[in-house]
Amino acid sequence: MKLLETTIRHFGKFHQTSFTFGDHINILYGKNGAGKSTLHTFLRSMLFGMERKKGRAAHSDEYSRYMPWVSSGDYGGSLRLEQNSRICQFTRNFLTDPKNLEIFDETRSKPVPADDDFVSQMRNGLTEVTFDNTVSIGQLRGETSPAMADALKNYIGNLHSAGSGNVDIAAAIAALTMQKKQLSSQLIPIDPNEYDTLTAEINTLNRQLLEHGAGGQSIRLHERRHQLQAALDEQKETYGTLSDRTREWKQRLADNGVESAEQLRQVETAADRAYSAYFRYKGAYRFTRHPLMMGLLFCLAIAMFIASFFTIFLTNASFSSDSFLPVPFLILLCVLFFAAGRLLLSLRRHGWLWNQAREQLRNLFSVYLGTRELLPDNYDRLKKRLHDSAAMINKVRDCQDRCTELESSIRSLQEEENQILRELEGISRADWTNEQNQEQLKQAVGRQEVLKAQQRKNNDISLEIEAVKTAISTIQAIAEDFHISFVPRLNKTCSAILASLTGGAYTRMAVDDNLNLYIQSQKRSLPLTALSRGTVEQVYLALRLALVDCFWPDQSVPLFLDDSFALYDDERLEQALLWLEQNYKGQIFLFTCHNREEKLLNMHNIIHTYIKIG
Amino acid sequence: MKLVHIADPHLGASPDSGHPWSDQRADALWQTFARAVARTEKEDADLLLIAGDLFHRQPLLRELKEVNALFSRLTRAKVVIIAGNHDYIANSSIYRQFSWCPQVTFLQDTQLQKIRFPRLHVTIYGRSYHSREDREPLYTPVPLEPEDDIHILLAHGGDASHRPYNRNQLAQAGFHYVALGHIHKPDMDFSDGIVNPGSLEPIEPNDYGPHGFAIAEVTREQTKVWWIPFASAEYVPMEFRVQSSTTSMILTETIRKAIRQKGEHNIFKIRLTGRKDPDIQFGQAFSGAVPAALLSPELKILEFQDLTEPDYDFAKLAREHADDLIGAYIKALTSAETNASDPAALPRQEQQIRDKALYYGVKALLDTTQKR
Repeated sequence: MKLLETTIRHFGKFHQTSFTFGDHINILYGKNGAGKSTLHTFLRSMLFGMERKKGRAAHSDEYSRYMPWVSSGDYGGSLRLEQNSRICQFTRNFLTDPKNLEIFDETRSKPVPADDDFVSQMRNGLTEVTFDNTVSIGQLRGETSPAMADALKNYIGNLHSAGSGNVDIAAAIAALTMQKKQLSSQLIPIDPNEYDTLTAEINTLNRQLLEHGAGGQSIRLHERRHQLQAALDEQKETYGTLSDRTREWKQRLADNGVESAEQLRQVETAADRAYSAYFRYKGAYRFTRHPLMMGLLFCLAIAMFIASFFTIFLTNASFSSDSFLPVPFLILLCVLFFAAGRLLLSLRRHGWLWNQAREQLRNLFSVYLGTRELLPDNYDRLKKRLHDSAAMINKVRDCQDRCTELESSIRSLQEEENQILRELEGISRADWTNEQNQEQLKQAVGRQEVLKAQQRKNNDISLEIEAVKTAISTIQAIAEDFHISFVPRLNKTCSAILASLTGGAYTRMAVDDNLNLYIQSQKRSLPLTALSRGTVEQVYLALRLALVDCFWPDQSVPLFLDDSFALYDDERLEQALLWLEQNYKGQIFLFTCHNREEKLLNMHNIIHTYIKIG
Repeated sequence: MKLVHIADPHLGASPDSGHPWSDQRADALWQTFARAVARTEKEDADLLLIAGDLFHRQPLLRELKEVNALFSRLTRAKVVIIAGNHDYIANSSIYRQFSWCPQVTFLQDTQLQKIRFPRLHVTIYGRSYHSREDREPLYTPVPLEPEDDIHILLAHGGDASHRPYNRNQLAQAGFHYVALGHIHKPDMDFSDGIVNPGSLEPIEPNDYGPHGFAIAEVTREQTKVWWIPFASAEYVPMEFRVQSSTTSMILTETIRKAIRQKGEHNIFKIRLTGRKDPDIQFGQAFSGAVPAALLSPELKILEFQDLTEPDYDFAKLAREHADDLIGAYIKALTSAETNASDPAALPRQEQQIRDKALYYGVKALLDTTQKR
């Protein structure tokens, strides 16, 4: 790329000023304040546009600094440049848009759109970063920026690249790092304690469930309880029936006037006696039955007794006298009378007894049969009834015994039932625990499955993360490899340039990954602070020239040396100029406020272009 | 004589636990079992054989009562059950004390037991499990008496640690029907009278395919067997091949259509293979998670594996970038490390990482490459 000429319409102190440049060395001489740096900045701005800073920095950024002092609605200019036999004119107006660019392709005589690819091509791949760090060399601004280190790495990575673009290592690694972060954020941390706790819980639950056989005995107990209940119901019913019956019978007996077995026996005895008496004395003379007759008989009997007594008296008397009555006869008479009297009495008694018997029978019949009729059946019936009642009494007694038995049986059954209920309660509590355990087990297993699945997912994610890490480290390793093979070359170039520039005073320098510099002198590595300012400037110059050589081995970009030699002594200046003239075939813009450079070039008859600024 | 042969109902299991439809599956096991018993009644079968693993673990009392109630509704069929390795009869097992309804016979002995049904002229031989594993052979020769009965063996087993058997030996044992259980995959070859109908419902994600039970008509001369598909859902593995033109939405649509076609009541394990556009992402930021579009609650997607590879022609890229970092990167990750001691292939996981790193790195480098 060659800069051919430029026209500044309005920029800083320049208004409608033009400069035409030479092919090789251009001395741009200007007194202090004449505008050298302004021109330098203008050229840079024509190549890359201007940046507007924001906020408070806007007051002091470059854009403001070079704003034309006289406002005219215009802020910019044009630049003609040549690249690969194509000549273009860049025109910019920073007022409308700091990055505004119009291109007129002179080779094809037409305006072309300012697309990035074309502009980049025209600039021969020069970027702001590389411009600031390689070709544009200012005074005391020799250090390179960190961005340059990256650019260098990228460059190294793109060495000999035949592809269609530049690999941006830093950006690729940044993208991968972002992916790694994204993946990491998807990891769900699993508490290993939780998993172990769950396993222990599951084992415990399983064991518990096995030990208590899920309510097996309760079936047996329930069955037994049913049996007991059935038995109890039956017995209670029986008991009820028996009690009722007993009560009924007792009532009936009471109604019938039966109080006890003893009483019945007595009645029966009485009835029997009466019955036999009745029939025994039935033969008694009818007439003796009549109470009147009984009274008469009683009187007659008394009479007979009196008569017999009288007869006894007579007998006594007859003994004393010869009475006309024989003694045996009197005795017989006495006996007869006595007997008759007795007979009469007994007749009477029999009749009375018969009456009694009859009356008794009648009473008995009336009480137990409800009739007073003296029918032969009735006696049988009475007897039967008495027997029935006796039987009933027995039955009542049996029933009562049975009831007592039942009572005690029921009590014992109930006790057994209560016992079973207590056992069942205990078991049902255990059953319930078992249910709970089953449920808990299900939950625990489910949760474990979830954890396992999460673990699997985590493993998958971890694999991906490993892959990303591998990608990052591989890229870095390869870049490193490239760098490793490249850095010695850079060092060699730097050292050679430095040796030339210092006339052999310093012949070795080393550069590391981040473009930090080390000077080797007599087997010692010196930091830059050990050197004089002038030497430091030379070192940086050497580095930059070496970098330019890396990026543009064909030297097809212009160098911008803005007062770079101010600190050089005459000797070194001469060496530098000679080196440049001999070793750099591209355009060189040398901004200076001294005459030394011009004088030296003239002295050595080096063809150059002299431009006076201001 | 008609019989219904059900194996491995696994009542009480919670398949797919941790997934939203897990409870539904657990319930489905019960429902299908109830339907199968109802079908037994409808078929007017004489026998219902349960070839083990009626329950997935030691049953609860209430679970036994539920099953007993189902059995008690059978008016003709007699039920014969054995315990399998999941519901084996432990010392405190509730099986020991539960009294089943009169239709049910549970062969609980530790030794081979037989039960005869005189009216059917059938003798059934069976043995329950009393431990989780049992390496004794499934079948040792027994005399089959009375001679003119139909002899049926009811057994649970078929792998090394659960009563292995030799099929030929068993086929020649003289049984007219061998009712097997334990292997969940149904065996459709029952020409030798040995029938493994598979589990009634699929229990584990690897129980692919239809599941059901067997119905057979057995006489002394002939055994005819029908396998009835009966499960309410299947595990369906599906593979989708993508191309570089496949976008996430296209893929999701295709998957949904395929699922609808197979039936949304089924449970799907989805795998993606093929070469995809490197810029397209199907799942979340990495492979494995189900894409959000397929997270709808009616869809039962058990697994989602993204085995697609980005459609980079690494050979071509390596050629194009022969001299720069990209080329060097590809070369670095595609050549296997030459280990002096082990020229064989890398362990699988390491190889996977390298492959993925190749993809990640190339994508990052290509994406961030600036145009010159």
